[in-house]
Amino acid sequence: MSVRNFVALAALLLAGLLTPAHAGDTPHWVHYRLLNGQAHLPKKVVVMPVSVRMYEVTAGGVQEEVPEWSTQAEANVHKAVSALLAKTAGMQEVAMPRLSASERAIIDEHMALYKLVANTVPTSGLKHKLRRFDYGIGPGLNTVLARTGADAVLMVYGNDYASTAGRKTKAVLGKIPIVNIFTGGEVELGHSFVHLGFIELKSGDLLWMNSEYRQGASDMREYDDVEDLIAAIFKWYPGIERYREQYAYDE
Amino acid sequence: MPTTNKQPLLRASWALLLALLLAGCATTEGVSSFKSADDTGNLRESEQRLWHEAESYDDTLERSGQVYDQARATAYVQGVMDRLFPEFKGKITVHLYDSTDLNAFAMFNGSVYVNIGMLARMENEAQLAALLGHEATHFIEKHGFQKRVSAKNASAFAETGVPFSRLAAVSSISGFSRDLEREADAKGFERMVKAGYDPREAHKLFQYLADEVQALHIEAPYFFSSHPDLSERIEEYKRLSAQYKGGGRLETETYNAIMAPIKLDALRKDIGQDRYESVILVMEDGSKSRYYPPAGYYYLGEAYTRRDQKNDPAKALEAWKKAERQAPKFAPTYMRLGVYYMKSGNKKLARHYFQQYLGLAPKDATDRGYAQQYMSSL
Amino acid sequence: MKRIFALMVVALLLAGCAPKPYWTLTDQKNHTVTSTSFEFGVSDGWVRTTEPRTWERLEIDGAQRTILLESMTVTRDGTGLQAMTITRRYPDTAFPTIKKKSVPTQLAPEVADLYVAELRKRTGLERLAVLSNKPAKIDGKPGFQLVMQYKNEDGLRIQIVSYGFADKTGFYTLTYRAPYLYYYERDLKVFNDLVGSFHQLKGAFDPPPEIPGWAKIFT
Repeated sequence: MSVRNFVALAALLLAGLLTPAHAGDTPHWVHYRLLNGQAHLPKKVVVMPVSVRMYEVTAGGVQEEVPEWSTQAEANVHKAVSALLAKTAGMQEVAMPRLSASERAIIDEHMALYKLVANTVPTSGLKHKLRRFDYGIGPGLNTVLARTGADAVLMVYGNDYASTAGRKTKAVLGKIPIVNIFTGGEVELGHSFVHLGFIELKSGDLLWMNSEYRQGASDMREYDDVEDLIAAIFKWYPGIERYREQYAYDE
Repeated sequence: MPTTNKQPLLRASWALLLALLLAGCATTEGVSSFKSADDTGNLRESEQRLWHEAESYDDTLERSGQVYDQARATAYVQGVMDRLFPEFKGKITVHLYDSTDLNAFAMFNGSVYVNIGMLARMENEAQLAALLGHEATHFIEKHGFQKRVSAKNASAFAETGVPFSRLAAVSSISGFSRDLEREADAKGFERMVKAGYDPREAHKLFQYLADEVQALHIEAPYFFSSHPDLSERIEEYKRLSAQYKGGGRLETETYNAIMAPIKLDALRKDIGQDRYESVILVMEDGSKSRYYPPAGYYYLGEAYTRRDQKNDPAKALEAWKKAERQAPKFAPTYMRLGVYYMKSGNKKLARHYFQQYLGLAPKDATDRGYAQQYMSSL
Repeated sequence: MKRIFALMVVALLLAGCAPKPYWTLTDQKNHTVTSTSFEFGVSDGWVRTTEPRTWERLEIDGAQRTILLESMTVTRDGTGLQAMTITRRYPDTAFPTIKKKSVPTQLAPEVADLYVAELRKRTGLERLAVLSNKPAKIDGKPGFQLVMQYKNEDGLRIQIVSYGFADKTGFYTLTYRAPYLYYYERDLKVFNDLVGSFHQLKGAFDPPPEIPGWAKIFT
């Protein structure tokens, strides 16, 4: 790079026209209480009912849930999560207790609230919340799960979209010039998505969360694919220092 | 320089795509209607998917508060359904849907939803039987599945991007093809007759609804506005019922006794959504309003107030006075009359009506605070 | 060298023309938020929209319409979770979907009823339930306090409290929406403080603005 170009680039940087790295580069979130040592990492964890929906997508874009696939995907995800918790130092999985109907209703509503929180965090546009991440769902779950002796729960949900052979062919043909005029252009192939989040039971604080999104070849009916997905999410656990360096800097 | 001939490549690609798409085409071959409740345990894989979607949709409706919770009316409607289709008892499940739209829909898993707006409009059990017969036939003949198959095939060459669960699992919200609707009309009618209901009530129901659609310029989604044409269906029902002598179950008194709270609540919800025209249409017509509780005249008064055309204030007062005479324990009437007289400067009457309201209204009534405030200012 | 210098000047000038951020974080120096028609106080650590929103697009009788209004939003965690909205609607378009106007002589419960009917026309709020409707004073003016609730698709109860009043300048609402579970009670005091600090300004009495030229195409 010539001196002239370098100076021009420096000028642009100074003007703030190039933005620094943002949340999209580091997908995990860490509660500020973990950053400043006011909370400890989860030790005894209840894995909440896993929700994974798996769909088949036709050439025309029609999506249809396949219940057997969803059941298999859920089983694979739970198995992979349990295996990872067993391998993680200092962590132990605690069984979900039997729940009464009213307890189940409390659990369901907290899971619905969690989903809203997890969806709001990445889209809020509030940069200062990255520096001091303090989301939560309140201590209501503790009324139901305190008897397990757990100190945290793990929220797990996801989805997977598998393309039919017709859709895959359409995708391939869609990349060929001229041919794609007749086949309707490019189509998106299937994708897999899993989200994990630890909630501290006593406070309801969202201690840590992360997601993995993969386009194309991954199939959550295959345990190996799921194991890989979960490992990719946990690669960032707990990532406290990494998060601190990225976001929790003093301005 | 050699020229490339792209034509063979195009043809091959097109042929390959066509072959794969056609190979993947859904079909209804080998799929027959349900004969009894036991049949619902023998579903093909493609049918199981749709059943599962319907169950998920049931859960969503329940969870999100869209199911209308009125145990007595629900049990009653279920009883009528079981009388019409005894061989499907336990499989066709009726739910009341919290909407004043004139609609009903059946899902692939045998869930049948009837809007409270529809229940409010009907006059007797025979009309209910006509409606339920039609909807249950959609389920028995697997019309939802047929609709799913044809829509999937139609979309094969176009990118719809539409999540399908709401379209196909919920079968009759957007209506079926002309032929399927005719089948549901005819077979539903047969059931109605077989169960001993007066066959003449079927076309009456459609006639009342056609009148309402026309008067209020109602558009789809609407139960009777999809194929075939509404007037054609009325004529078809007349033709079908002409084969029978008059008479048969009506159960008018039973029906209206059980539906009274729903009819009143439907009026309340119509006002709450500013659908005052529906309220006026029903309560102004003596042949219709006689099937509503007399407290309905309170809502008629509210409807005139919302419409606010010439002479409506006087009509509103007359309606509230009628409600006061015929439904003396209905508290909201007194609040409204109190406000009317307060605005017109008649403090004595205003105080009288506010006092009546406070005496009758429950402790947590939403307007209580206003009544107390107005009383203290008079 | 001259070219480099010129480039730096241009770059710095462009930076100066950068659009204002959508959100402003509240701290000790900027508690009071001033819009054209009203001002109010916001608690530390909350964000508010930097500029008022001046129009919205609504579907009325099947067609898209541009409706003028003046609205500011406050949130702590993102409007997906909780939102406090202060809105002024002009008299002729106070209840646009049900096509009713606001009139200063309307009683508070009558205005509240129209407001609820208007809300119920919005997607997701068709079954909005009114839990309470009481008289209230907002900036000394007689109005209403409505508490309402609905459930989202996942069965989460969402609670809304709205204060409102109508005068000759239009229809004003101060609304707080949050999940009933945990969030609603947690932040209610912040909202009550905001309502207590709300104050109408002289700007409310200026003539309403025109619909922007570009928006007229869609109106």
